[in-house]
Amino acid sequence: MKSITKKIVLLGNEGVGKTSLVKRFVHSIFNDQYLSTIGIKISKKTIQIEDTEVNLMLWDIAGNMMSKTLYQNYLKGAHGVFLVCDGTRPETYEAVIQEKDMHINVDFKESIAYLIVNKSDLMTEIDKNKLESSKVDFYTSAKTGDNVEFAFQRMAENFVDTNT
Amino acid sequence: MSQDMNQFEELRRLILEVDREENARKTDEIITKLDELEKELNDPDKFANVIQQSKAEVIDVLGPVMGKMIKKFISSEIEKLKEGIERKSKAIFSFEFLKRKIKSKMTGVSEEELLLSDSIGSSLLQVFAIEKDTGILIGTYSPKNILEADLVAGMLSAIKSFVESAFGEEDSELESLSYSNYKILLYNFNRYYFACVLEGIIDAKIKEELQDEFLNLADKELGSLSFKKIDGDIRKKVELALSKAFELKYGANFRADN
Repeated sequence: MKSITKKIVLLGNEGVGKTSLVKRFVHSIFNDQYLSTIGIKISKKTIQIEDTEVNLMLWDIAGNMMSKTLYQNYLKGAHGVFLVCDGTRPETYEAVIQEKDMHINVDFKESIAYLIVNKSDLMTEIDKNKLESSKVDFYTSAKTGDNVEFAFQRMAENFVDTNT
Repeated sequence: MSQDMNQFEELRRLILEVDREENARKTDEIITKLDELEKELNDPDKFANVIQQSKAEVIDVLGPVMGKMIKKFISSEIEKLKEGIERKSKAIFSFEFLKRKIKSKMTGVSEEELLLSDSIGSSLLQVFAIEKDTGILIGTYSPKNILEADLVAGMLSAIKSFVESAFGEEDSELESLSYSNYKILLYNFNRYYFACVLEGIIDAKIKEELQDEFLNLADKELGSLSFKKIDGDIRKKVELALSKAFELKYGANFRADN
């Protein structure tokens, strides 16, 4: 069996649920308590896509570092980027849209970037209407587990397909 | 006869009365002096004065006792000092001492550091080859395999990145991390770096040996590899090279002498 290792960076404002998404994906347990990440947390998850073993190194970057120079270095060499926002807080959506258009799509063109709207279980119709659905790749809920595995799986499939 | 007896009794009464009065007076004097002495003894200043005034007498009394104790203590200390000098003399003229002295001169490492290194040594715990930008592990070697290599590689890269961004000048790179008795030496190359986890005393000689080893690895083994896509094959090749370099040469432990 072939084996590849890829770096995925999770970006997004504080409290959007990046750490919870990783915890749900890596450990399949959701911690309801708010986790404020300071700096960075790295986790590993191995999944199998057809005949390839894909090792995903997940770099969960603290939300408060979004605008700092340091996080540029954490992004270096990322094969994939998850831009995460909180579906109930439109300002976090605006922030990741801006980050994706102005930064990731410009400086990290070779990375696969997905926009994730998290906390979908708490979203109202009004919340959903505030977002441009065409720009959203996945609606997830770290609390219920909806679409979490699927989002990471899609990213891994993309790595195998494109041989990135 | 009866008259004589009466006169004798009268004389005794008179004499004894004088004695009793004399005794009573003397007893009063003694009590007074004892009171005064008690007061002086209870007063530290006056007691010190008493001792001060009677210095010669005190020395006469305590001298022999203290003298014996002091003499015994000094003899014991001189004996210990003598043993120490003998031990050091043997060490000074030993082959090990001369070897250490020459090595210190040649390498610039202090004799104390070499002595510590000789007695404690260093253990190689794990070696990592890590891609610089991604922090992805290219390969690892460990005699004991004690660390979660992928995660350690990622965290090391994050820490390295953090330190270099926060405190580093342009083009400067983090070269070592220390924790307790452990040291992580980082050897930086263009696309990757090596991280070497060691335990114990790490002197300049060990650092230099490792530097040579990694330069050799970079030149002969890793130079021809493409790191565009780190897969199982690349990892196997790098791990074999690391294993060859460290397992055969050093084994689990190595000392400055090697």
